[in-house]
Formats: sequence, structure tokens, C-alpha cells
Amino acid sequence: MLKSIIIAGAGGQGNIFAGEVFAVAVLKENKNVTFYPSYGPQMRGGKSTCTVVISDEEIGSPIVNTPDVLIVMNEPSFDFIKNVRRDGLVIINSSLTKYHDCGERKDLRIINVNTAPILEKLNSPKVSNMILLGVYLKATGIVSMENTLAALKEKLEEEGKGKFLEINRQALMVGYNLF
Amino acid sequence: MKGNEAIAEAAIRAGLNFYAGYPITPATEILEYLARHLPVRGGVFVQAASEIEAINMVYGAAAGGARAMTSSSGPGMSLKMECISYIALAELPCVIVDIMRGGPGLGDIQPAQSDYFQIVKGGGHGDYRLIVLAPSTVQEAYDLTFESFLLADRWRIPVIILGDGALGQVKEGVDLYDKAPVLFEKPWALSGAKGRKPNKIVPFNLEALELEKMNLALQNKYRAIEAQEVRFENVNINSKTKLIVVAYGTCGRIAKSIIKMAVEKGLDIGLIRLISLWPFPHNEIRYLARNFPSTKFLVVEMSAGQMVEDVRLSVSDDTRVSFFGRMGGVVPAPEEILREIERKGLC
Repeated sequence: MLKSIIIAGAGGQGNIFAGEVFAVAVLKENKNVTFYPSYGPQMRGGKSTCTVVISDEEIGSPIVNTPDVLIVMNEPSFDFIKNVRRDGLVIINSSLTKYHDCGERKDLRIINVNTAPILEKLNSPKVSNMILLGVYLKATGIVSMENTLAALKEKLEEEGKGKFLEINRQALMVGYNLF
Repeated sequence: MKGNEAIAEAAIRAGLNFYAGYPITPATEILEYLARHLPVRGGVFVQAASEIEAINMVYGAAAGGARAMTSSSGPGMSLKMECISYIALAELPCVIVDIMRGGPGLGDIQPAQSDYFQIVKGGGHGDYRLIVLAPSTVQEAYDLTFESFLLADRWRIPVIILGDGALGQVKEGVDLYDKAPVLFEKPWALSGAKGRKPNKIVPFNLEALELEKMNLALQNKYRAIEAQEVRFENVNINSKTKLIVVAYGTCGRIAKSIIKMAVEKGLDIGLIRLISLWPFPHNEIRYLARNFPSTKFLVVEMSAGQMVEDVRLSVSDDTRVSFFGRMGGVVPAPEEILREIERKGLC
């Protein structure tokens, strides 16, 4: 088993954070995992992506050009769609994108997630990353919700942001139960 | 844990007494981690005003008998070179981490392997060598950094951990096993001469014959290291292997992906992944080249082709050695390397 996911969006959307939570959850299931962030002069609003590779075996390249799954957090991230592996999965944060399909790539499975009304209901504009992560977990069943919640708690507490656990947990659950 | 953090944690567990450094992407997390953890775990951390200052502080700390380390990337490593040459003749143990980024010049901050010539062949002046270890995963970065302090002390030589931006930034699970560091007596250290004859550490001698003697002693030591400290990993190499990929660091692990993909395509590709770049496994590659006379070699690097020169020396038949590289901070994808292998009919 070798699976990869790219989460692509803008700095400030929590893409790196979502990728790390997911990677820690994978570790808890005793699988091999690599997490590779885009790094450099990143800033809020600039490009920010991360790649997570999961395998039962030793992982070769942690950098993947053809992911199995792509999470599109904003409009410019549509650029990545052409590289998604055949018959792959694309999850789109559709309230921030003009397009809601993958153009020529008819082979791809697409899930559009209109996050705006959910964020309004949750009364927090900052947790679309967790909603989409929840959708991804449900769609692939790749790690358990239990381990993801434990990873979320661990990461937030590590960063001294334990008080945001509840809202992130809620967003993750809403995403998970959406489809 | 990030590669950079694993390096820093391994250094502390190996008994690091003194660290001095100056921030530079993509190596900064080493300094950040040590700033947070080293002082509370019994060591001294200094953020120096420059890379030159940092390496000179390491020189002093090592002369005093401390386990000392610094870290940097391309431009910062260039600044350190004069002092590294001094430390080499002074025969002092220390660990220097280079997390390579795109060059030359200020270049960029993405992963590269274009410091191979500088680090493996010299960089500073004079006939010196450094032990150069090139981890390819976060776990190996941890393992080799831990061990590098032992090697440095055993051979009284600077050891370089040569990584790249991808190794520094990637996060993986790491087994932080508990192992007591092996510590060495250092009777040569400048530890205060009260009650004993003063020690002298001077990388300088105006008498040519005397300096030649010092050089001969260094060379003897280097021959012994060459005989004992070569490290590499062979994957899938046997008499049927048509092509052997030669790579290190991040390209070394990318090559493992190539081998898996090749198996699915029914291609016979092997890998020799170099762990020590100096000493270089010349004998092992020579052995493979002689025993498998129809096998070709493909060197994969994130550079214009630097290590490929050493592989050519070992294989001693340039027609059997090809090169694939990306530069400027571009990390090659396994698919594009495999395409190149098929296009050139190497396998």
C-alpha cells in the first residue's frame, strides 16, 4: 500500500496544520508516513502546500508529483489537478473556487464541499481545513477518526493552542458526517 | 519530527556540550531546536553574529575538549571554509551540519546537492579530508548524527552531516532510542595546564619539513579512515541487474521509489546508496563494475553532476556511466528518472 495526498491552498488556511494532524494520525496506526511542506518565504495568502505519503513499507520519495488525492483549498490550486493520478480523488473547497469540476480529467472522482455555510454555522471562519480533512477521512477510510482526534489534540497542545480543540473537533466531525 | 529537529536531538543525546550557529533556511530549525533544548539539558548555546564567528567558536570549544557543533547551508558553509581547514590540521573533533540548498551565489532555499565538491573535495585550502555522512531519511539523520560525535572524537576529525532542504524539512516518525554516548578521554585538550605540561594546538609551522611531517600524519590517518569507515547500502544488486543507480541523501531515497516502479515494469534496476561520501566506496563500486561487466551505472544527483566524477573514477569506463540531475532546487520525480532510463535504453 502506497498512498499520497497533496493539500494545496494559501498560507493561513491551515493546510500545513491539517497535513501534520493527518500524518500524526497515520503514525498512530503504525504505518510509515512522510510529511513534506512547501517551505520558504511563505506568508498569509501566498502559496502553501504539503505532501503526505503513507505506506506499509519503507517510503522512497517523500515528494510526489502524482498524488492519489488532492485537496484544493483555493482557486490557484487547480493547477495541481492535471498531475493527480488516474482515477484519483479531488476534494474542492468550492466556496472559494470558480470551478467545481476537473475539466478534461473525466476520470477523477470529485467531491465539492461548500464550506461557507458550515463555517457560518460553526461561527468560525478558520476551520475549513478540518472540514475538508473530515471529508477526506470519510471518503478514503485511510485512518480512524479516533486517531485523528488524538492527533489533533496532540498537535494543538504542542503548539499551546489547546483552547481551539473543540472548534477544530467540531469542524472535523461535520466534514466527516457530510457525505 | 523534522530532519533538522532529529539532527539537533541526536546531537544533544550524543553529549553535545557546545553549539554556535547563525540562522539560514533550510537549516534554521537545528539552531532553533538547540536554542530551546540545549541550555536546559546541560549544554551551551550561542547564536553567533555570523557563520565565521560560529565556526571559530566551535574551533575553540573543540580545542577545549567539548563536543561541539555548528550548522548552516550553502552561503554560510562557504564562509566557514577557512576555519574548517584550520580545524582539520589542528586535528580537532567537531560536527558540522550542511543542509544544502540551491546555488551558486545566494541561490535559493530549495533542496540541492550542489555542495558535493565543496564538502567532499575540500572547500577550504590544503590537503585535508573530512568524514562526510549523507543521511537520506529522518531516522538515518538521527542515527548518523549520534554516531558522528563518536567518529569525530575517535579520529580527531571534523565530521560533516551532509543533508539537503528536503531532508531538513521532511517530517517522519523517529525512534529516539536511548543509548549512552561513548565518551573519549582528551588528554590533548586545552583544559587548563595546572599541574601538567601545557598542551599546544597549532595548525601552523614555518618549517617546510615539519609541516610536511604534519601532513604525512594526516594522510596516514586518512588512509586508516578509508579502510574502516566506508558506508553504503546495496539494494537489489545481483548478476541480473542491468543498471545500478548511484545516489545519496534525498536522491538515494527517491532511487528506492524508482526500483519499486521498475520491478512493476519488469526492469532490473539496482541501487548503491552512498552513506559515507568520504571515505567514498571506490573499492565497492570497482568490484561491482568488474564482476558485472555488462552492468551500466546511472548517477542521480540534484546538481550538474559532481559525484558522477567519483563514480567514473571507480568504474574506469566512462561509456558505462550516465548522469541524471536537476539543479537550482528542483527535486527530480521518480517517474522522470525512470523515463530517462527508458529513453536512453539503459535498462
